[in-house]
Amino acid sequence: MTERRETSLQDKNLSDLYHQADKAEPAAGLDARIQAAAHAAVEGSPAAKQLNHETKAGSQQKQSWFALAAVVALVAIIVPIMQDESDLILSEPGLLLQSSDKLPEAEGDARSSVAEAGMAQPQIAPVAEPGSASAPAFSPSPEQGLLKARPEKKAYQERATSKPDALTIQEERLEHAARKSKQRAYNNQLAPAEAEKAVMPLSQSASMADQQAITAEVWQKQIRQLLLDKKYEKARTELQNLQKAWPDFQVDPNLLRQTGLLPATPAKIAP
Amino acid sequence: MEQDSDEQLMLQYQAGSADAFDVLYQRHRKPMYNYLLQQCRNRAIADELFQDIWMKLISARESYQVRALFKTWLYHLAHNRLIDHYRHSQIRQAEQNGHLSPTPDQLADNPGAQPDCLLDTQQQIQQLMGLVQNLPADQRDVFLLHEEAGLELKDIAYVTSCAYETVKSRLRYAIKRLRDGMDHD
Repeated sequence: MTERRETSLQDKNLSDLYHQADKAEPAAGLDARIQAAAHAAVEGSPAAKQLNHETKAGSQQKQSWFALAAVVALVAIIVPIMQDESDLILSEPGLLLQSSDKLPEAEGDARSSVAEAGMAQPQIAPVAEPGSASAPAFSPSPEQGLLKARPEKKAYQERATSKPDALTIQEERLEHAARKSKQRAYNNQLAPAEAEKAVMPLSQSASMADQQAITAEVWQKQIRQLLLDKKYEKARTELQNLQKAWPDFQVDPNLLRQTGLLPATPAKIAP
Repeated sequence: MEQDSDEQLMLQYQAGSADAFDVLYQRHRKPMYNYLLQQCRNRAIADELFQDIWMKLISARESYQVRALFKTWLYHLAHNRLIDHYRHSQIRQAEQNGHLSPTPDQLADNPGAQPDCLLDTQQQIQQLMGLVQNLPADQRDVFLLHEEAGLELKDIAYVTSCAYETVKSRLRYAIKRLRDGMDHD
């Protein structure tokens, strides 16, 4: 019975004969299409996407390193520039007086000393140079903590608390104007010789611009210098001009005497 | 990779190995194509069905699980695609309505069916192929799955969604019919 079933389900001759037949094959183009589709599907598969993601992550990591390096380089470039700028600004007393809230006493003392000297309020605003963006843009505040450790500020504080006279302020302003003009010449990438040339007219123009702020004290000092140089005539003229310009200013009587504008004190006649 | 089983290759393809698919494809392309060609008897239709089946496999690769032989799964896809094709073209219904056995004209066209002829092996093969094509669709399906795809009866039962006994019966009748045809000649 079992043998009959096997023969009914399996005929070896028929099977051999069937497998001897020539078998058709799919066309080469059909094979190519199917295999291409299979390959494309694999390339878009999650596994392939995972591989792509890892590759992208690697490239993003590289990019982040490049970005980090770029930031470090920028910081390394910008910080010294900012330090230079802050040095320049901190060396200008007017800006500090205007911007620093921690120096009211010093500012008040300086102003009071000027007032005591009988002078008008010195114009301590910096010489505004058109095109100079560094000075107005920087306004240091105590909260930033930038000024606390700066030696320039300490020096200025010492000067301010020691009641600087108007002459010191004026000299500093002139120095600053010269330094600024140098800086501008450097920024304009002038040759060193040209920069030196550019410094002189700029400093002169700065002093001319500051002429209005020249105090009577400075004027008087200049007159004193003229007397030391034995330029008596010029000293007298200058002193007259000073008295015209600053009628309320009490000129040193010695100066008046030396220039002949004040008669010598009559000797006391002994009774 | 050549030594790997079909299931291993399919899992490798599922994991992203296109080479695994190539090996798998080379193993099954010819039997599958002949199975379809014997079923639909039209090369253009066989091409279309063949491509559709492999595309279905490609798109279903991510959901593939080793629950049965890969070959069983592949021919299950093929069988379902053939049924869809029959439904659309109504060929199957026409066959079931009356052309279950070869007509006299068909026999006349088939050189292997000519009587009183000394048949060599090639002629016997052609005769057998003619007889296979003239089998009833269900019997032909089971016979081709058994001979062409090499599936066991239980796998054929899975592929055709039929009972095991039904498959066995169909195969028995198919072989008997072929044998009778060959003996008759």
